[in-house]
Amino acid sequence: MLAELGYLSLLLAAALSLLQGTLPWLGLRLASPTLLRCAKPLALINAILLLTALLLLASCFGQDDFTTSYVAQHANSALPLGFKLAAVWGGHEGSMLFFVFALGLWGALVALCSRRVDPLITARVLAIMGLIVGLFGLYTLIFSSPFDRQFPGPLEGRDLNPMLQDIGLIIHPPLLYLGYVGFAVNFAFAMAALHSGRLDGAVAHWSRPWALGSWVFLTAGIVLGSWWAYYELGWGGWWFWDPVENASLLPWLLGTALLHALVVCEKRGVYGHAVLLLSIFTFSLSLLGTFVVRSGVLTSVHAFAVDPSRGLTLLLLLGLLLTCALTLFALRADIRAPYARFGLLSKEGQLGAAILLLCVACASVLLGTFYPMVFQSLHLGSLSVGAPYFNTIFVPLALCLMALMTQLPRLRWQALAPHSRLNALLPPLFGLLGGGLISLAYLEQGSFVGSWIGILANMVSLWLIASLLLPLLQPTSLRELTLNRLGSLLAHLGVAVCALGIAQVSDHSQEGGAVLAAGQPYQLGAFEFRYEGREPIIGPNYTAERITLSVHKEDKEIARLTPERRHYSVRTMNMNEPGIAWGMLGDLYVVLGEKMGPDAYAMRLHYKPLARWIWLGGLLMMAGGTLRLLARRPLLASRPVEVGTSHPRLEQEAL
Amino acid sequence: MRSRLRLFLPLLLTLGLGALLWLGLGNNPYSQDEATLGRTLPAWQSNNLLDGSPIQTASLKGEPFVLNVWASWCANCRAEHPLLSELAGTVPLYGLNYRDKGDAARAWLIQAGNPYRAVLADPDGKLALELGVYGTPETYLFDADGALLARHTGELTKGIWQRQFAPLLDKARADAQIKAATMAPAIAPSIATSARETQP
Repeated sequence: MLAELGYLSLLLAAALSLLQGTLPWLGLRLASPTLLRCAKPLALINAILLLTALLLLASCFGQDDFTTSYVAQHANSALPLGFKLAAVWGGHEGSMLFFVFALGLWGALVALCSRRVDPLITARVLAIMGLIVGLFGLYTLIFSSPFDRQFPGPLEGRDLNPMLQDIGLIIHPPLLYLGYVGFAVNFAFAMAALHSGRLDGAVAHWSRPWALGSWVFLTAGIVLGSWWAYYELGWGGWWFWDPVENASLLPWLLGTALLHALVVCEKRGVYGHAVLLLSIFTFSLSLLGTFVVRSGVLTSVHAFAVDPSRGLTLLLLLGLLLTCALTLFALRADIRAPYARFGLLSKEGQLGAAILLLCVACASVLLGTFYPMVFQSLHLGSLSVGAPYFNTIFVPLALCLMALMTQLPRLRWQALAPHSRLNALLPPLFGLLGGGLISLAYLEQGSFVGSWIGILANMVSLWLIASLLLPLLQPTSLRELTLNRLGSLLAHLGVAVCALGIAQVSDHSQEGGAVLAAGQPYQLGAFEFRYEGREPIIGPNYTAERITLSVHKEDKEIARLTPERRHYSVRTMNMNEPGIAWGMLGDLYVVLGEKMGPDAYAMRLHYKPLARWIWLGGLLMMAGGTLRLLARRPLLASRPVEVGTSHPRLEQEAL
Repeated sequence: MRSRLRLFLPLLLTLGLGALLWLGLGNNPYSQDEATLGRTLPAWQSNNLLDGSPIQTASLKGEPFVLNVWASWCANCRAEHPLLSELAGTVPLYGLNYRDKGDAARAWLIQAGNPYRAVLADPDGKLALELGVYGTPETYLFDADGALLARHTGELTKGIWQRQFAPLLDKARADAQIKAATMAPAIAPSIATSARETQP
């Protein structure tokens, strides 16, 4: 019963969304404010309907209703409740439903927070959001409805993929999807701007918080995903340049570029084309991300649900949206040259360079991700593009970007702020010395295996940190530190912290494999790992062996590690849970291997210096973005635009 | 006008990229398997699932044959079952029961009918590992000497059989006949009978 209700509310939402997608255009044509106004309540109703559908699916999971085939495939009565809820988006059908819900949610938010936005623009934005929700709603209904029944229902479900049974996976996909989908709002704003012919700073101003919000969510999603890969997959890595990971990185890179382009467009009225194109492509790449995960075009460890026909339809949808958008762009974009003048050494110029670098980085990742497929489809043979390609291309680009970021405190419109020679020299000097010292510290342990690029990364990171923080030492600077500036400071600091972590983990990780048994310790660098014992564990839907290891440094116990090997009986899958002892300076990380005897196990032992800093940097970026979002509160304040003033314009536009 | 045309550039570029993606979607993601063609069937001893008697992979050879990897838990294997029953009359068809419980597999064969001459039990997936099995179902065509001629990952359909398997099978049969004619006539029939004996 619940599943049918869910299907019905999804059906209703799709139909109303299409209505929301058509009525405003009609309203514009007929100059009817009533038709224009109905977009807002429709958007709200849609969001509520989609939420209802999602909750109904969740309650199907809660009741273990295995006649719903989606529930039967992704849950089991022994599965803990939290994971049952995560299973709502654990498979293709459910995640598409969540995708549509997220679209509806953003649409409703636009409707709620648009009091100070030109109603004609809002109506167009809501109409486009309605069309997108309607299209994806129909897709979900036709090709991947999670509410399908099967009779007779099985007595027991197949259980959720054990890899997904993890707290990180409860929140990772929703965050990622909220981020992906949020860029739909920017896409809609770009379309509205093109359609209305209003390509000015005001539209950029209205579009900006949405880009920022989605960017924060996307960052959170990527950070969580990488954290999950680190501690759940047990491969000891945090980023694998896997197609699906790249699929989330691509919109992030372009979204970052979009954020910066929006700033310049809002304040200076230039980069209008860049804003439009970036809005279009960021959303397209978000859709491509969903498509890649779902289609099996690129084989990947993450492709949990693979079905080409669904992928084909998604690709068609994406192609339709992109073609319409770019055609509109080609026909309606302003071809007059912008009148603002500036040189490269100005905020406009520097941000422009950053945008360009981000686009190049995005293009090269895109190329690396899809090249194998294109190569194959041209019948040139098979090949795979791996981490070496991405590292060679991406790392120098990232370092250039960070070097640009060091100029952040000096950025002023039209020209960079002047600074004394001391201020100019101090941060690079600090970076040079600090980076050198870090490398020397590794040399001392006799284990220096670092590369030049690693040393360079250390130097640039420290240079960036110094140039961001040193200006704060001046007495006047703290007074000038608005919430806005603090936000961007934190976000860019996050990049430096993240880069520092990446450089240490990539260059100075220690790793060893050994058989550990009682009385047979293993020495890895300065650490001695000792086998302490093992115990059987019975979890809710798995059984496990837990090994306890103690780690000693200079004969003092500093940590205890408890790696596990779990056996999930329903899917007959074995999972290795690594044992991790985390520290600010480095993580100790152990993965179990084969059992070699009654009390002996093969293991892989890692020491990962500054591993936590990678995610700490991500957190800083998120915090920075959130601060900037909060600093823009006036946008959400309730002072409606005089409705009367817009009527003459409405009539004018209708002509 | 020139600058207006330039605005069409993103559209054209994207359409080109989209076309490439489209082409890529038509690819079988497993086509790199061509590298494994020509490899021979690994020597292996297992139990015949049907009667529990020992069976060796070497005893399958002698004429071109098809090896189908299946399991009772695999829904797609059930979907291709009618086709396999149809093929069983035209070509020696052997099964490889992959990571399965013997009782469940036997129950399924009794329920749906057994198209296989013999089924090699592979409960821990070791032979499958040597064969390079991706998952169930998979279908392999070997020639009389046990060299791999064709493989298909995923559900076997009539179209795939006609296109990818049937021509190779005919050719392999012709080759085998020529070979059998030149070989000592006493050996070939004995292999054929031993293969047939394993049928329940």
